Amino acid sequence: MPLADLQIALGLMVTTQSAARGSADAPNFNNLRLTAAERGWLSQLPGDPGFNVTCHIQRWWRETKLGWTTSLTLAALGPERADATLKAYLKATPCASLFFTPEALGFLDFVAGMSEWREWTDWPHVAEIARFERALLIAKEAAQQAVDRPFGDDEIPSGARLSPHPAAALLEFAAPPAELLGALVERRSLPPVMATRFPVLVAPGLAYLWRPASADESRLFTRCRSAPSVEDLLTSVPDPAPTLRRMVGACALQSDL
Amino acid sequence: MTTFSSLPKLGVGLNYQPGLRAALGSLGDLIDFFEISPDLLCRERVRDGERALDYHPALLDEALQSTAGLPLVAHGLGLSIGSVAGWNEGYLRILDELNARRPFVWHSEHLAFLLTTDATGRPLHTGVPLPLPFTEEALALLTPRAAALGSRYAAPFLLENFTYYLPDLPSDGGRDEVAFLNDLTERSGCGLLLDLYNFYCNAVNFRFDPYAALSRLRLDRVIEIHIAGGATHDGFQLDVHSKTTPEPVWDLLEWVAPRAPHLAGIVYEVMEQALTLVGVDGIRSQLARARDVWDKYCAADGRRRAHATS
Repeated sequence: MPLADLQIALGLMVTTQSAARGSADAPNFNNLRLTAAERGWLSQLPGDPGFNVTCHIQRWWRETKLGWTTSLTLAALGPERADATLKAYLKATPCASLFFTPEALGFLDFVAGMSEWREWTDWPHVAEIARFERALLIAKEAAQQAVDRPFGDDEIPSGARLSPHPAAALLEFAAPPAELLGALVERRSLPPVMATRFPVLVAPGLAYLWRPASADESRLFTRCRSAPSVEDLLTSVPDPAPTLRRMVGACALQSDL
Repeated sequence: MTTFSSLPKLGVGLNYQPGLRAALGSLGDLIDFFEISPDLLCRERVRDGERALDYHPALLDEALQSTAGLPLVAHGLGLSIGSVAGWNEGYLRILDELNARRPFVWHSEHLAFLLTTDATGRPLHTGVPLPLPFTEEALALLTPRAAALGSRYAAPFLLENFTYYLPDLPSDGGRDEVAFLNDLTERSGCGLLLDLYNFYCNAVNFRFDPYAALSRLRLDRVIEIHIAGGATHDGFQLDVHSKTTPEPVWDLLEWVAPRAPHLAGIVYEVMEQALTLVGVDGIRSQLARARDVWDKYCAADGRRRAHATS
């Protein structure tokens, strides 16, 4: 159906230019069933001010969404690298949604997976912040979905097997979290990378969605990745019951019962 | 065939968004109805081109509570009614859910497409709504879809004219946007959400006389009017909903309102992110001025809405 092909062609042209891909990536329409008039119309679009504005709007909205949802990561990157990283992301990753969260998750995964940051010794903490911001987005959405807390802080059924809640995460920073996040928010120099690791728990039931994780919480969260029974966990830490109840209550862990 | 004459005359409305909730307390005397975009209350998950939309329950509850007691209309963003590759079924599911919770008086969507494929058939999201050509083929695609949406609920369906920036859109037989809208509303039975700011943007951007164009439009199909203000970029008027309504659009409203016999509501649209720019007082001024127009031309005889003067 020619209208389908016209939409394919137009969609490819807009997404290609919006992503600032070069002429080598220009879409090929040889196999599309376009009339001569349609091909003529499409051929005149590149460079047309209206076409350029259309592509600008597409890109502007993607950048705006990311500016609102990934501000910590962009701050960690610093202005120049943030600009370069955004450009690289938009070029590599097609728009999947007009919504904020899918775009943000795509960008944060892109940043966390970049190899360049390992060489940015003067810009540390980038990957951890990207993972943290990603975890916050997931936890926030889960909280907005009215996460079920099947039981309160009072009890965990015997025989239950516990596992990490799908919207929870245990992450590590290479600097004290409050100091690192405060520096990001206030646009100060970031603290140096330390050999010590500072675990952080992100979960939809936590106030502010995150807090530093205790050693017991870290140990239990990690153990729960293999979905052990509560009885098995009793051997992991001394008197784990209060910690387990707290973590289940915060939706950091979930039960199969 | 939808009979628009039986629709209640709602009056002046505001597009509800979560970020505007705090301002509603000081605007309530000026609002007769609310327009809700159900997409804005949802999250979207995309995996391998398959997309799923579901509400944030708290956001939906807040929206329904904040708008309680007043009529509701629905205005979608993500249906992609013009996609040959298929429209967004997920949007219809959330619309069904909204209507079940709180029936809307009418519902509407944008005359555009967002979803297509690449040349290998893989899903492709355009990232920005794109226009359809003014062709018979486009009408053949849209007509049954608009007709189906008009009978899906006990509420009419409206299509909104759209701001586009691409020049010389392909057309059949010299058909332009107005002729296309006329054909579409006539064949499908759907109504028109006439976005006067969008119409004004197109008139400025493509240098045509908006009054001459509106004179050819089937104004008896106009059920709702949007007014808004936006920004300019590279010489183009953009549909951004970030400002108060420019004077030429108010002039267009004064011209259209007495000529649209089935006009049932006027909505001022503003992005919640623009609240700091427009301000609550700015929104009040827009609603109050829209009310002046409504009262002058559209209010049902003897049923003018009483409200305290400030």
